Amino acid sequence: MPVLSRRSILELTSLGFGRVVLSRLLADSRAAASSNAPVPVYNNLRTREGHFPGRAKAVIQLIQNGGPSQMDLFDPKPMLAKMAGKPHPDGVEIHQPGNENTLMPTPFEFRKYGQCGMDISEALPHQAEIADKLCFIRSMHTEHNNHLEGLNMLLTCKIFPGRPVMGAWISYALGTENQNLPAYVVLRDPKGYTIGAKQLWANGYLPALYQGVEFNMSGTPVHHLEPPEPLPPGVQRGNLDYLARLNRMHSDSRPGETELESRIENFELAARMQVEAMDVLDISNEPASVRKLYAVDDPVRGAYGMRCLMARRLVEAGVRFVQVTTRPGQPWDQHNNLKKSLTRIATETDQGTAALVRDLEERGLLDSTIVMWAGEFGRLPTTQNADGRDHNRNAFTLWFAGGGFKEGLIYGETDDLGYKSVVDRVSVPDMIATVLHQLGLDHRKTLYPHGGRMETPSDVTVTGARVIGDLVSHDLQAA
Amino acid sequence: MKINKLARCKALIVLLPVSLCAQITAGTPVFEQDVLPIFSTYCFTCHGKSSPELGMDLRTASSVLRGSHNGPVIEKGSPDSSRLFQLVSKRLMPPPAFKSMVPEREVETIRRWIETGANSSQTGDEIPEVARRQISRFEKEIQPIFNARCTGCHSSEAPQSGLDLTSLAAALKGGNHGPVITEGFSDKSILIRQLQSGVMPPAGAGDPIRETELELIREWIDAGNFADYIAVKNPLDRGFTEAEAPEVTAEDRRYWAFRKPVAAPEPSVKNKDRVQTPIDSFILSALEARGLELSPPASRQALLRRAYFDLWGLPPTPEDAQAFIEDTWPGAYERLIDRLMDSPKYGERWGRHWLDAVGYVDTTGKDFAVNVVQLAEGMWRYRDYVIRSFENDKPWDRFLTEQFAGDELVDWRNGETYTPEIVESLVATGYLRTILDVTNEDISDRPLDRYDALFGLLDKVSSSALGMTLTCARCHSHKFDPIPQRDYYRFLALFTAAYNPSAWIQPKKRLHYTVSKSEREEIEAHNKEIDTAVDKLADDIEQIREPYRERLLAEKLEQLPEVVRADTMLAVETEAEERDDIQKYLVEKFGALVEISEEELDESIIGEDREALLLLEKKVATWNSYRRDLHQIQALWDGDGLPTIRLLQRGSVESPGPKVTPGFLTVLCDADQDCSAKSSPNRVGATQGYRLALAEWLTDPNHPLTARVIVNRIWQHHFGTGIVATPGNFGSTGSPPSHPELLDWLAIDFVNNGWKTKRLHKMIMLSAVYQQSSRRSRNPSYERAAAEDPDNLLLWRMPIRRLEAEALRDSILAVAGRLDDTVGGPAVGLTPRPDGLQVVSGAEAANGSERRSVYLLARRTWPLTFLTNFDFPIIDTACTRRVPSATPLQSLTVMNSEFVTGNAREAARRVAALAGGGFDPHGLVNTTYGLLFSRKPSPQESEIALEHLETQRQLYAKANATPEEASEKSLENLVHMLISSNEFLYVD
Repeated sequence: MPVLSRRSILELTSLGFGRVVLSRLLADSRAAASSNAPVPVYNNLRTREGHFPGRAKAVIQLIQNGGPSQMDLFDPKPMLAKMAGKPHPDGVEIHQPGNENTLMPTPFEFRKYGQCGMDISEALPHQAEIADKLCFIRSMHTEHNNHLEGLNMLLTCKIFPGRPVMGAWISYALGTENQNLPAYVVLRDPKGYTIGAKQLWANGYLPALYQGVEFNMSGTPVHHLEPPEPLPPGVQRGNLDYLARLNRMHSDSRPGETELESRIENFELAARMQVEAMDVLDISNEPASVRKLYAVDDPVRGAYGMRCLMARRLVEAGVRFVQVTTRPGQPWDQHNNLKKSLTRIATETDQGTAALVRDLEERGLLDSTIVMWAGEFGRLPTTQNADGRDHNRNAFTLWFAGGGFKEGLIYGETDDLGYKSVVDRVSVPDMIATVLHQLGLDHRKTLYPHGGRMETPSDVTVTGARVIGDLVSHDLQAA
Repeated sequence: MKINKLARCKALIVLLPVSLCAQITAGTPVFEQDVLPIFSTYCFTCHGKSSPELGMDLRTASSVLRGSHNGPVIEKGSPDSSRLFQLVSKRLMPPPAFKSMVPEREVETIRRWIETGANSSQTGDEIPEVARRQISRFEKEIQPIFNARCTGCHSSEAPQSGLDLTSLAAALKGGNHGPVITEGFSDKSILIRQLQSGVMPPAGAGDPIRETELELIREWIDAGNFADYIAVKNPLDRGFTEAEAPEVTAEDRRYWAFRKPVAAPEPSVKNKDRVQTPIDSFILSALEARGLELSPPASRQALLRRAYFDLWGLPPTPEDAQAFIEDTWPGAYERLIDRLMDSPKYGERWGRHWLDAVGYVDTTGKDFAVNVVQLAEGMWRYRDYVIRSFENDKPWDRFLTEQFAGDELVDWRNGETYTPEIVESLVATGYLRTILDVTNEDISDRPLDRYDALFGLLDKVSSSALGMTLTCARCHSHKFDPIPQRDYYRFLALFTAAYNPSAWIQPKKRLHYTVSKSEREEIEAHNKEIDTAVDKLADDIEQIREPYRERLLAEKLEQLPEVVRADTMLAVETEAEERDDIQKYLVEKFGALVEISEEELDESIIGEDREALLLLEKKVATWNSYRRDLHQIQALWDGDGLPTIRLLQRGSVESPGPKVTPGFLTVLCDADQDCSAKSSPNRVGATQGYRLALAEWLTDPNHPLTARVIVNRIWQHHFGTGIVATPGNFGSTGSPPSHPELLDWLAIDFVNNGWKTKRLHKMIMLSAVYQQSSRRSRNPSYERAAAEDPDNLLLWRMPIRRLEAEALRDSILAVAGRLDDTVGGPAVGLTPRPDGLQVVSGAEAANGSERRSVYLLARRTWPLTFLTNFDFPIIDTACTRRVPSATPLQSLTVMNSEFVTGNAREAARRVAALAGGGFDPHGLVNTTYGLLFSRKPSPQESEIALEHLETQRQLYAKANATPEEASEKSLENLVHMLISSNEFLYVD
């Protein structure tokens, strides 16, 4: 691990070779002005050790944009039926016009599933079947009632843009196993972006190397992976060999410029990526049973199912972090028409989601892979526009599977009307700290110097984030 | 909007008979009976709870009379001077987004209530039941926990950190660092954060707190309803705490960047031959102290390209290169510099550097949807202003002053017409308008969002002009630099006459034009006359069309089964969102059959009617040709007066602290000087003059930072790294200067010679330091320098620099012979492709798709993909320095993108043409090197290039290409690879 001064850090944010030498010439004056101890800073994607042995190696993040309604999916509230039509006794914090402050029971049937007896709505029959694999947190809360701010919060611990997302931090801290693929891959709906778009996989102040790389679901997975027109056999190789010779001669007469070296390396990496990324995308060798499991040929469930399948293939190939999004346009955002609209998005995503967890388990990958299912906030127990629900930052449910998260755990509670998390409340920074812990990272020691401050993924000094030991099946290595 | 009437009358008024809710009592209104029902109906969403918006709690008469964070909102007896009444009667409250207006009759009730003395049936001291319950819960449940765990240290006699937890009143007061309990929000309360993270109680001071205890405290805080009834006086009207306004000491002021620059004498050096400008003496003396020396001078070719890329961001044409190499008269290089600086291309290149620091974007709001561009109309005029200012070498002090306060320098308010100077001064303030302001949406036009915009403004201003990061001090006094939190808010207050958080103007309503108010009115009146005429003509046209439309429709309906005709017509005429399921079905099934297009309709009109129609349409076109356009600009100007601005504890709008008045940074003022700002006496017109005062403070020749910061920026763009490597942060967490005396010398020289940037460029570029080689040299000290100073901080060789994204794109277009050098004007659009690539709109050069990158639409989140791949910044506030990355995506982009391959093909054609036709490999290789690198290839380079041409030619021939094609393609490949090579991407 190279130890660098801040000045050197600024020089060295390119991929490839970290300069280990401290410039001795200015060391004295620098030491005098510096108020922080030097920290290790990485500028490549090679695999790195965490702070302690982690349970998981990879993360698949299923982003459920819109604000999935906890009381209609995972957290039923019988009291709502009893008080239907009455106002909320304390009033609720609303966000948009059209709110009526009238309590509304869920229009969905609930049943208990698995050994754990988790209540799951009829909207999610496939996830219901794997209830015993999942670790539900019913007591999440967040800070903002706007989608974009909520998503920023969920991914970065802050409502405003500018900070690196969880996937970028993890790629930075751990590098990646397969050097021929990006560390952090984003699988989005080809129809468009989720609100916030590239902010959802932004590197923030970390080097650009750590941002998510969008993989296209058809054609070539990465932009410019192939020439616009096919080249005759041998031409591309001939070009690369010539280019390598040119660049070698160029850098020989300019010794000490390490960036030039990494560029030479990059062209080779790019060439290898051309092969490997195409392989990952090619699902022709997947058996029919797998296609069926993920419903990839189903007109409604297929698109999201395919992204889930691709996520599994990427993790299998040694990618560190995969982010999957739903279709664009806030699909979980039921301001009205709750029953129909929620059923639609639930149907689109339920089977693929459950298939991913099952498939990972069958392949023995679930222990080392964290699957995270989460939206940016929850919804209110009261009506909006007669048959919808407004945003609610005070309570939402999310779940984890694999990676050492307890199986079949139901953690935390909301109040009787489902408005606020009240028992064992978990903040977003707590959640992020816990995910990092499972990967072998201490969120307090995962550092990057920026703007004169040591930044951490959980912004622990401000948020007071802690690892929630009750969520995981083993002893904690750090708080 | 349907609202349950019963629900409106809930909360504190459950005791009142329901029938009172809608009743207005004649005579003298009383708060509880007459006004409270109105407030509870229209206002309680935001102002009827603990921690209400802006502290304005409308639940009791006493809290209404106490007012908001910004002061009283009721003046008894005078509705018109009561802020509450102003907002309600002007329909600004409730916010328009809620689409719920207080009816006239109820506004009248509020007016009369204030006029008659704001009477209440309760005495002020009464405590509501809910509060009584909360307070007694504290005594019974919470205080015992504190007593068991906390009061050992947080006692009333000698409280640690000033925090006394022995009573509710004391606990609410908080400690030295401000309050620890945020009513209504346990997760925002420092007390809870400290307890749950285990920081408190500290190790060794008793058992950690139990989860059940923590839960009790959380619940109690979340339930709220206690603070108002405990604090006897307005807790906001206190002085600053020690933590908010720590003393700035003499020691603090001694930090190098806070002292004014000192003119050190030019050092004497051994190797006097190398000294071309004073810069060389400073650099050489540091090198010689270590026994090192400068590298030998660079070749003329390297120098030529260095000058072109530095000043233009473009390579020289082969002809220009030839002319320079052949110009052996003395002063050829100096003449080259002069020629390059005397061009709009210089303004475009250096303007773009400043636009980075400014965080320039053409869009407004968050710009989160790729398909929706919310353009800040006329923002481009500011971009052109910046480019022009560089080109014209506008003195830097003037340039800054115009950007901070151009509107306060000219009397635009009273001008009958705007002079070019007035427009220019207003456009300059676009600098302050490029911030991220999300308040365009009514839903996000809240105090929080307004302050976020102001915070972003401060980040930008401080990093670009001041060279400091103040961000830390938004939430607490800066931990490393002597910036008290109070100073942050004083500094912020300087901008609040224009960006007034209490009387905010949404960006879409901050309208300003290139013409004066009276001219605008005249234009509007002119256009209105045209509107009237056109409307009249439109009516006439409609009269002709109507019978034909009916006839057409009747014909079309014939096609439908008779039973559905009437229903289909009704369904088509119903607004889309109001159609029921049957109507939706009918429209879906038959809508297209009964639709009548404009063309179809007009074609059906015949004979005299047709002639009449054509005549009318011609008249409309003529009228429309008389219209005069209004051109918008993005400017900033002051409103009336300065609002109350308070320090925000922990940066939170929900936790205001004491009042602040506008002021500068204490540490940058003399110890005996009052650092508060006074309105500038030089202001022109009805403006507050604080921004002008700030500009005058910044551009004072003795200001320790301003000149150093810009001199450093210019140095950075010539050498890749500044003398201070962190150009936006000269504070103690930034990088110390590598050559402090040089920095000061340059800063003083800059100010003494009229703040002229072109003069500084020339001094730098004529120095031996700048003119030295970047290559490995035979200097005896070379290897030692490489070992001792691998980062080249002492500049013993010229650093090589990667082209910025724009320079790379522009250079590729230039060698392809395609660069369109049109100057200025509205931005060239971008188009999102379905595969996620953001490309330039329109493939044709006529759309400006081949113009310089500085003219492409600058989107906050969606810039051109090619540019982002090469580190073009995604703007959140501003970018003080681009860090060049090297990623595999860049390799893929140069190898395979349509942009690079297409332009490489074009460049290859150009090479073939320049080489004079025919396939002479030697000639082609020489021409290619001349075009791309302004030089001849070395024998070795020539050899491998020829070899490559031959290999590729054979491969194409094997793949059935004709001999001509094979030659052509092999040349394309050669040119493409040379464009992809590091020599093209880096400046020597």
